[in-house]
Amino acid sequence: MKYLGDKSISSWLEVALRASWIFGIVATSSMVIAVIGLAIAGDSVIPPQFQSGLAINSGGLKISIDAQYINPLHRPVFLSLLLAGAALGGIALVIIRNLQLLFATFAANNPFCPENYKRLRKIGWVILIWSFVEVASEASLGVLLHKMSTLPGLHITTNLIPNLSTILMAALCFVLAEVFHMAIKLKRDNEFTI
Amino acid sequence: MGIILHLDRLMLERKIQVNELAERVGLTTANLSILKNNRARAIRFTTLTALCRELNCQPGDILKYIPGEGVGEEEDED
Repeated sequence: MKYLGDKSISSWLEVALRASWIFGIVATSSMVIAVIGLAIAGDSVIPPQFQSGLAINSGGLKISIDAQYINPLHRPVFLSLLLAGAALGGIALVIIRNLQLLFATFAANNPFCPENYKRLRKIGWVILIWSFVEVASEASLGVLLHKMSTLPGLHITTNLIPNLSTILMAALCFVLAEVFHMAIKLKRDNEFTI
Repeated sequence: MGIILHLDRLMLERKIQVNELAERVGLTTANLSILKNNRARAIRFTTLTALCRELNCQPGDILKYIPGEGVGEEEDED
C-alpha cells in the first residue's frame, strides 16, 4: 500500500478533504445566509415547518423529542443556534483546508516544506479553540433543551470541561509540528551540504 | 561564527572557469555556485579533497573563519 505520492492514500485523502471543504463552504454559507435572513425577518416565532420536533446528534448518540413536547422556538434562540453552527462550521473549515493543503504536499512527495510546520501549528490552535467552543455550545444547547422541553422529569446536566481527546489531538498536532520543524531543518542542511 | 570560502579568488588565480572546475570535482555547476557564493551549509570531506586536488591548494586556502559573518549565521532563522 502506497502512503505518499501520486495515487496513494494521501492523494485520495486530499481529494476527500477538498470535497469536504467545498461541502463545508456551502453548508456554512447557507447557515450564514439563514442567520442574516432570520435576523431581518419580522416574525418572532419560527415557522411551523421548522418545528417538527427537536433532534440532537452527539457522536453516535441521537436524541429526538416530538413537537408536542417542545415549546415554540423563538427567533433569537434559533438565531443563536444557527450562529453557533456557523462558528463551528467556520472552525471546521479552517481545519479541513489546512489538512487538505497538508495532504496535497504529501501527495506531491514534499512533506517537509516550511508551510507544513505552520499548518500543523494552526490546526493545533484551531482544535484547541474548537474544544472550548464545543463546551460553550453544548452548555447552551443544554440550557436551550431544558427551556424548550415540556417533558416531565427531564434532567439535563452539562460539565464545563473540554473534551480530553480533543485537547490531546491539539497537543499531538503541536508535537507533530515540532517534528516537522526538525525534519525541515535537517532536510535544508542536507540539501545545502555540497 | 562564519566560514567563508575563497573559491572565487582561487579560481581566478588558477584561471579556471566554474563549468570546468565543477566537471573536474564531480559537482553540478549549480552546487559549485552555491559553494562559491557561500550559500552552502556544510561541505563534505570528499568535495573539499577534490577541490584541494584540482586547485592544488590546502583546505586553509579555501576556507576562512570570519567572526559574525557568512555560513551558519542564518541557522535558526525560522
